[in-house]
Amino acid sequence: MTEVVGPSGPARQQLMRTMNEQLLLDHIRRAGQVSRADLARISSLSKPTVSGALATLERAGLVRVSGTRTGVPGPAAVLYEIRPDAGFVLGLDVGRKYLRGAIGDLSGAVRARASLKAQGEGGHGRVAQLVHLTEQLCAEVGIDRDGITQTVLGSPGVYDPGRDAIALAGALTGWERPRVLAQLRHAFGTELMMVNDVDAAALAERARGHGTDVESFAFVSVGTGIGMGLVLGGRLHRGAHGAAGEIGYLPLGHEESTDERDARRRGSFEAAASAAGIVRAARRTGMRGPVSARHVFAAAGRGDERAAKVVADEAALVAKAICAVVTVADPDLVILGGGIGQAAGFLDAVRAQLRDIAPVQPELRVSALGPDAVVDGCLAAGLDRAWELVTAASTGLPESTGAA
Amino acid sequence: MVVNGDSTAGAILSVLFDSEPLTRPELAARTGFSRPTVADAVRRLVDVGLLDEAGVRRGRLGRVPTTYGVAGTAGYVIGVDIGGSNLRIAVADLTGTVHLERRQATRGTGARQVATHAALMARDAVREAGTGLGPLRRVGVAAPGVIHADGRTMSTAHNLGDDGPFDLLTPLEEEVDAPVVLDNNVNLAALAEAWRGHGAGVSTFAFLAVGAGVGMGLVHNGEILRGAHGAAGEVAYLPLPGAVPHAQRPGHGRELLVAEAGGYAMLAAVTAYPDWDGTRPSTVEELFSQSAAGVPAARKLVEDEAHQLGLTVASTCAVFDPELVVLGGGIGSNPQLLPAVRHTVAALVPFPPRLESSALGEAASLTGALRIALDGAREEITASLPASEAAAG
Repeated sequence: MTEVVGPSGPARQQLMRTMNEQLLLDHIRRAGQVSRADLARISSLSKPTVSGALATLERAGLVRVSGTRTGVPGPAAVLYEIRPDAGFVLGLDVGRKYLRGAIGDLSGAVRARASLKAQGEGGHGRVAQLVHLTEQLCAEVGIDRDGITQTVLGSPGVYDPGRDAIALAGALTGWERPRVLAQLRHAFGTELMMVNDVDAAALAERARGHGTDVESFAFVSVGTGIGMGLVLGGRLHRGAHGAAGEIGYLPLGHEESTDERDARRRGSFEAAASAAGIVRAARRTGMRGPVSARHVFAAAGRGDERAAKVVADEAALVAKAICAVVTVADPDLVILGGGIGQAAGFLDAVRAQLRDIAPVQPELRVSALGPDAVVDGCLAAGLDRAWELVTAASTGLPESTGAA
Repeated sequence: MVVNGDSTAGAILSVLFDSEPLTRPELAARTGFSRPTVADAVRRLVDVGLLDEAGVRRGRLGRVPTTYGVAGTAGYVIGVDIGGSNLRIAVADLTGTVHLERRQATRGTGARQVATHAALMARDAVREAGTGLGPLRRVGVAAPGVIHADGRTMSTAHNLGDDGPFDLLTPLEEEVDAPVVLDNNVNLAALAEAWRGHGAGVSTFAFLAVGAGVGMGLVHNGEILRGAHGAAGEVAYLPLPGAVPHAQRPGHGRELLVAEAGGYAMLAAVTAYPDWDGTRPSTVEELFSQSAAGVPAARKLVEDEAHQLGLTVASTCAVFDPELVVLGGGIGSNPQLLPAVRHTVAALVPFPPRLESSALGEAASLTGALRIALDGAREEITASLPASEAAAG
């Protein structure tokens, strides 16, 4: 054990106590519920020191008694846990059709969930709706908006420091105006964390989906929009500009025809392989009437040859994109998500195509997470930050400047 | 960093490995240890032959302090670069200063023959180095294939004429009396770029090597990204427009079609070009010269190549978003490619990376091989320092 070198006397004692408190907090968080004796054993601190630190932490509202341990020989031991209400994380997902949100507490438990159908186009309306959603969630938990320790917004696109605005927001019209970011900061504070929505879903896959026990994986979402979250060495890889995973911009597409305007706006691959791209491809084969990606897949399932060709072409295209991911980053696993990615039979079609073109074969799985994935990823992203804020504030240690 | 052993001596060595000789007060300032502790450790390091007195620092009033540096006989490392056309070898001391460099055309085909040739070159280099530099500490080898997790077997070395896994390490270990460490040549070129090139201080970048074919080394948070199967950076297999899937290629090897980037493809394009004004170039170098001289056909082919490379860079950015991409390798380093690559990338990538031509040229992989040999040698020396008698600190 390294010796702590520092000032001696009363000031040093202060430092020692807060360091001990931090140590105990980390142990309690990891263990869930622990007794004083457990803590003394794990931390190698004396029982009186542990008692003193626990008392301070209880007074600060960080720790509370959770119960007693019975059923073992000897007197019942009092158990301590992190007080869940010591901090709250607000996770928000702004999509094209739905706005979703949830509030989680410091223990990681989700305390409230809600969603709203997005109304109208334009960014301004959505910010107001996000505030409305937030108020609803706070009311359900029984806290003020001030009680939120950290807010994380899952949004399409990336932050563009050159314009101080969100960029590459794809189908979310109006979201890229600088005014929108200003309104978000005004509504949620300047400490608002923004995470790309597909990156957030990747975090959810890492926390409780297929990504829990691999070193590296790519979460590829194909639906109304297209994106990827890349986890390398267990951590999200955001890239130098936060744009790692913007695979909509891969130079892939239907070589016979491209919607030039769409390709310029959101990348050739996204223009070709998103739901809108499937609809265009279906129309090119002669399919008439109300056509959506869902219709095309259903028709293919019923044996419609034209629809089946469209689906096969789509699988080939998505396989090419995954091949690009493999040849650059070679992850252990690729998880396919989004409305198209999760369509029945699609993964098998992609796997068959990938075998012919990729130099190595990753494991391929369909995401088992539902529409709450983005919000849950935001909660996961915010929890570490909230923990840092709450514990540093209470124990008086300077906040770490390193990112969680 | 040091688990057992002498942490003060380790810190001093760390500093001196990468600096000019320093006085003991300077070493105390740099390491944070007290002067008596430093003096003590320096004496021990001199006793075991790792440091020696380098001279005195003049030009100041008062006492003239002695400077200490890594001893000239403290040892050396060897770097080997196994390339399709050439075998390169270099000898460097523990500070990384190169003392010897040799090159021979790659003879024979097949990994076994080439490995034997490389081993003999290493043996000759050891002989030439003699005893003047001290003991050989480590050999680093850059090889043109995917290195397996065991660190000894290599696969897919198309330009050696082989495909199956081959134990590259054993022939080398048999000829030299030091540990041998192996890595893919493009990965090592990327490391070299981080050490002595444009990548210095950049934690996330890509090195795109263009020679006969293409390959990429990715540096992620300062370390080589290998991938789950060692295939990170195998960008020859990118599904670019016009590329033929690898399973359908004749011979399953590097017989490429025009659509793919690299030297083979460029020369195939020259052959396939309908009318050539003047003599068709027979080497890529001649093609570049003609392009610089303004021959329209040559200029078009160089631009086509640059465009394909631009697509490769754009694909890398979409997945990985590096801060910097360095174009290297015998062909990639040519600055003629840069404007057209930048143009293609700017059109396709929303947040383009910085793009540079490597200044390391054909020495990149060899430099990387020296780097891993140095890292290994330094780590071993530091870890095996005996613990001092006095308490550390």
